Amino acid sequence: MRGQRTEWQSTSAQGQKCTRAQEHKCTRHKSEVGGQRKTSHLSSLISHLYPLFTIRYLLFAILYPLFSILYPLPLRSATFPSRNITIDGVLSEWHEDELVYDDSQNDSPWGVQNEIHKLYMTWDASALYIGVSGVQKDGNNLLVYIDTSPLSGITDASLLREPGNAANLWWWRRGNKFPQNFRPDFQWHMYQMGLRLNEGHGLFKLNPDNTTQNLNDYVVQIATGGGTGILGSAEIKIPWGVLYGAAGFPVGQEIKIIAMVTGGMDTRGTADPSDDLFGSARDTIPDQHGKFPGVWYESFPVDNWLNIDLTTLADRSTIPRKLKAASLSESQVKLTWHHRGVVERNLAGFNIYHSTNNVNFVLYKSVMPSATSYIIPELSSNTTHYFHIRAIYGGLEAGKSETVKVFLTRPLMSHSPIEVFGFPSRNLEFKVDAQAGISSAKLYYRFGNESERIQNMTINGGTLSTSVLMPPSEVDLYYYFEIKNPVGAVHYLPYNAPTDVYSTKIRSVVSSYASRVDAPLKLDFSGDVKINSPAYSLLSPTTIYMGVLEIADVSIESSAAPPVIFYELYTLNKRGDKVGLIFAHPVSITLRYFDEDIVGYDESKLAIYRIDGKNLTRIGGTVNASENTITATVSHLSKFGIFHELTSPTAVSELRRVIRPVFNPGKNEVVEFDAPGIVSFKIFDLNGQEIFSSERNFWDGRNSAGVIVMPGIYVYRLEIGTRKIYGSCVVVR
Amino acid sequence: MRGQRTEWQSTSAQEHKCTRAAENREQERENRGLVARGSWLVAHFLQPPSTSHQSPIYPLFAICYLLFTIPYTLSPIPYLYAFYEPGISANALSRASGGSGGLSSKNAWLNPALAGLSEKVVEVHTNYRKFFLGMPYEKDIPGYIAPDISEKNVSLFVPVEGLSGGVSFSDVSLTNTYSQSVYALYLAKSLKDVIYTTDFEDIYLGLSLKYVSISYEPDEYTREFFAKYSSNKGALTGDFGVLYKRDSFGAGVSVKNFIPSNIGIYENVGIPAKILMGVSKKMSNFNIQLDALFDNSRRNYDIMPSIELHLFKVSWRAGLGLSKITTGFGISWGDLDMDFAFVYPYRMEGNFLDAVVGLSYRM
Repeated sequence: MRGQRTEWQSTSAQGQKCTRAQEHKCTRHKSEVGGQRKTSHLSSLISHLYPLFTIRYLLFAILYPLFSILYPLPLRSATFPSRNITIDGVLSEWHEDELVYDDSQNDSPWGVQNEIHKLYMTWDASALYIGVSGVQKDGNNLLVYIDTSPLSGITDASLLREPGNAANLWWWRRGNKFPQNFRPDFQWHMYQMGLRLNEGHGLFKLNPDNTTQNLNDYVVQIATGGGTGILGSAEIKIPWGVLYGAAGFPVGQEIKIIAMVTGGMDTRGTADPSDDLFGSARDTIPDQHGKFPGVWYESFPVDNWLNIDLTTLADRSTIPRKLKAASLSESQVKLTWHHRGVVERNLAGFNIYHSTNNVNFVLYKSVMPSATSYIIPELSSNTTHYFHIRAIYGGLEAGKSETVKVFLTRPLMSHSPIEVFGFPSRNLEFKVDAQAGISSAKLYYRFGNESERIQNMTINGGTLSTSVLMPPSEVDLYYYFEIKNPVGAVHYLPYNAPTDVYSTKIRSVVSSYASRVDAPLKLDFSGDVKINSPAYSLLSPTTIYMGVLEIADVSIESSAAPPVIFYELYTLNKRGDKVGLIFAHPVSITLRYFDEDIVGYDESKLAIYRIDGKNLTRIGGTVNASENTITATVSHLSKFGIFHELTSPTAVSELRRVIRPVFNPGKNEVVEFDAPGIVSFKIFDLNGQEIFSSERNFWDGRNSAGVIVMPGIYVYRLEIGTRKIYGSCVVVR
Repeated sequence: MRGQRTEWQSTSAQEHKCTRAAENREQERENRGLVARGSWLVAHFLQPPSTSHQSPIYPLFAICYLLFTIPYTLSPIPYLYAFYEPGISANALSRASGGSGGLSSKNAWLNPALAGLSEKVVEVHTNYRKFFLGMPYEKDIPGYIAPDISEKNVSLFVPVEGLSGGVSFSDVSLTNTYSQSVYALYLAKSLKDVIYTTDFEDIYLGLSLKYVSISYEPDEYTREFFAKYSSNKGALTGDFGVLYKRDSFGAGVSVKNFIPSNIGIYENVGIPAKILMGVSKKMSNFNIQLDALFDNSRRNYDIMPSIELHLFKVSWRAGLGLSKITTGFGISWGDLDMDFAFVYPYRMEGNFLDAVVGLSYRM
């Protein structure tokens, strides 16, 4: 091609003696000499009117902001501020996603100095903005064809007539032929990236009858830089009314566009314009599928262009837009985008770029042009990932989309599988602290070898919770959590569930260590069961155990008071046997009951009873209905039950029952007297020696010095009211 | 020493036929220095009157005094461990359970050396004690166990060649709840032929081997426990005693349960050892006794003075302990004795007492 050009240069040198640097001037001069005087007069007129244009431009610049301000606010798009591209020929203000096509590469037959580089497009409510950059020399030009209507436009640019003078062919006609689907209605052109309106450059309407119309009075356009072999850029603002005949954004319309570098006109020194030679496309945006003709002035059938969808005003990105990234899991991101903006007929696809620092983007994946989403797996978690995509046209990329970022992390959930106490046959509550943004959560669990069950969890702020009905006995629990975020991403806790699951033991017994004897203690067992003891209640630091007994497992005499729940509070002796615990001073115990235990009962009539064998001893207690607890004072720990009293107990001072008359002090057992109103209580041996005396209602088998007595028979004397009651008990050791 | 002692015993057997020969033997023994190398008891306190006419009762008194006074200074809390052992006689009970220094084989339970007093006759003793007679019982109270407690014992002592032997069976029980039995074998020997030449002075050594058995009756609370740990337990132990007798004076010391034992079914529970010391003195129409009981920790004790009057062929007795006041009487018809005792546990502040009856027969 360069040879052809060289040929042309040679001819020119021979015929006109013009230097290459003066080529443009020579060409213009030749044009004037060649009989295109009307055109020259028009140019002259434009030159004379140029100050007016400047004034108009200034007026426009003044009025436009005023208009923007005064434009009725209700008519504005709340989400679409004016783009306000400053038409100064400088492209730096254009956004990345307004880059329609980046052809900044050496793909022109005429070399790097005859290239079209970039094409930008965007719009606002008032106008379409186009920005181009490129470089030309040797009298070559940059043309932009715009097709706004399928019902109009031209098919052969070589037939175009001179603006305002249909009798003459237009000097800016070129040898491009257009297919059925691309019939340009407008042509915007400049010379070696120079935009001189007085020399016939600018925007022109192309009518179907090949006549043309100068529209430079209606647009704003400026080019900077440029010149022979110099990279330049140009911008133009075309009001919608120019393009579509009506002001306002042409909702639902489509713009087709192609930009190209072409050769210039060569009149060959003849007066007959029909003899002129004119170039056709040599480098285009988008790239053409067909090959350019071997001779620069031969015609070229355009076969590729860009479609700009004007569906919505707000959606002015010309490339795949509305890119969004959502974390599917701690290692997966789902990118989604819309297939709008610039759509080339043979769009090759999209390139997905990835970065972890928002600086160094690496092509991660190329996807099919039909794709509107892509899931990126195996990303590192606890990392911020950045993405953008670029449309691919014939191997070349458009501008990049907006950059989106996503921080890949699991939902901040904290859960530690610890052995917990579970009330048998009652609901055990599961709680997981989690960050907000979880849409749903499930608990998958199984007891022992039972089949797996699923329980939906309740989301309350940062807490996930659910409750699971415990089996009646101690059991191994296996479980995991499934959490979904608002976009449907599924996370598991633990991470690789269900391969790995949490495993724990649901204890039916819980312990609390009373570490000190010289200070009051508050022992807190699971499930709101508590013991508050004053100082020196215990003889030594002790671990106290609490378990819940199945009502069916406790054999008691028939009682008018229906049982609610049974507890067993005890300690262990050195041989590991369960033994009771006797306090030097009375302690307060708080026991928990559940709503499901008291259905149909009067909550205020609950009372604690001590369970001794099959016998019950009423202790009473104070009910806290809001906490579902009942608190009472006891002197020793044993089995306790909460009962619902159908009748109010009568406080009669009498010995109602002797509990455990044969007892083993070594197991912290006591003989206890169910006798309200005990005044004094003494223990004697068979020799009549007084062993122990107290005012409490039980004897722990120790003498007054705190030493466990020998096994055998002992006689007690109770003073209840005014009565003295003698009886016997047996100490087992 | 044992070889030398055996030699001496052999010599003694040979010289038993002649008092003069016995005197020669005493002289010979002194010459051999056996006294100096003999037991602590013989060497320092029980020297024969032929060589020392100082009575050993004085050192015994000194010992008793110390033993009586020390416990008082140690602890004001008596009977910390309170392990009751059945077997005591009505005679002893009527005198506040004293009699370890008394002069009756009926009280061999207190001091096995007293069994030696039956060296010439066969004696049978039996006693029955009803505790807390008159104590009111409650009715229809679940779990209430009436103090229906009784004790019975029977003992037989038989003189053997140079020894006195005996057996006894004792039992105390709480009806349908608990029982404790003691099977005892007694051996006692007079050292008169060994140490003394006078008829009015003697020393007896006694030993009893006891098998103590306790048995619990399971109830609703203990059924599972006893099923697991058994409701019976037996243990072997023994008593050792010494009695010094000089005319109408007697002094005795016994160490009860000196053999370590375990009577616990759930945990190790040793039967506590006790030391019982007593002295007695017979007067014309009465006799007095003073006993002291304390355990091996010397923190548990009882002091038991008593008196016995002989009026109208009836022996009237009374005693005082730290927890009881006792009285009783005894009637003899030849070889048959009948004793009654009444024990009032005054610390229990009740209108009841223990009633005991005993029969003794000498054949």
